[in-house]
Amino acid sequence: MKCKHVKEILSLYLNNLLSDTEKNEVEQHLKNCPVCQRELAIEKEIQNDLEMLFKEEYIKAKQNTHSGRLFKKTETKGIFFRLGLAIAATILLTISLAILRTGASRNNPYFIDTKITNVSIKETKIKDIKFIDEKLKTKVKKIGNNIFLVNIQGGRND
Amino acid sequence: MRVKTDTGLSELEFEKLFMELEKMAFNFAYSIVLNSEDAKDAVQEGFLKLYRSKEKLDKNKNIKAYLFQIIKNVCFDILRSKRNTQEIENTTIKINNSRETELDRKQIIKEAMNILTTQERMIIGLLMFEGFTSKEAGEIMNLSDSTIRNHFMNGRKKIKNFILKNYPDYARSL
Ligand SMILES: [Zn+2]
Repeated sequence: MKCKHVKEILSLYLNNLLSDTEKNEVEQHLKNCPVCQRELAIEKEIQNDLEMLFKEEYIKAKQNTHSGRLFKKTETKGIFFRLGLAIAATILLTISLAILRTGASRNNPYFIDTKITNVSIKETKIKDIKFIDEKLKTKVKKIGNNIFLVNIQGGRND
Repeated sequence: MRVKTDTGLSELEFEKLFMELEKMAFNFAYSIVLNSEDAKDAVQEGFLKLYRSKEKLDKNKNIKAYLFQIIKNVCFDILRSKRNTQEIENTTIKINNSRETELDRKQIIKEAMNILTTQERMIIGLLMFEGFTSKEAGEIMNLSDSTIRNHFMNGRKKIKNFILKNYPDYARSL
């Protein structure tokens, strides 16, 4: 086997997805090829990180349940309910911001604290939009020197 | 695991199946949506659908593959409805991004997963974690054994190239 081919199939090798013959050939090649040995080390690193990512996210998901189970036999509000709320919130906010924008004179812009921890819009209906640990997705457009348009693009309601 | 009849799962059998497949189901869902909350919802929906039809299930058929297909569809629905309401990319403002100074390995691998096609991600999700065989994955994905392996290989190659290109420090110590 040539290095090029070995390099291609190392990820398969690591996951036991090769035939016995192929597996033996890879192992033979690895014995004498430091270049492919290093490739294997990189693949292993990626493999570990992928495993870590999935494992951590799984633990996180389980921690966010009452029972530690990812399934309960009763109906839940579920994703689509939450998405619905998010959409409603998005529309409302966008509309409000739009109204506010057109309603205000040019001399009266909204100043938005760029730290994002505490956003307030001058003289009005929306006060203190709090972004709790970045769960809300936002798009901020700079429309003037100190003027930003915050567009809230939905997110979680929990 | 055949009992007297081949149709319908008992409460106990369902429970057993859930315990056995919970983690795999999560990993699979996560590989599609790349978000822990959404993956959790998809697993819930998937098992709920299976639970409701448990009396009608044919035990000679591949229940596992059936479950994963349901989860896949739920995940696609989630992705679709998100796409309709927002741009997928999280565009929070980066004020002081410390990425240059320290490598957040989890973040890097997540970024890399993001550039794969959904299909490549799904196959990685199926094959990597307490795995399915490429044949089983093929049944779930409706693809041949060799196509599955090709997608897996390509996906992993993309991940590697992405990381080496964007984070040369990643492999420096190796
Ligand atoms: Zn070599």
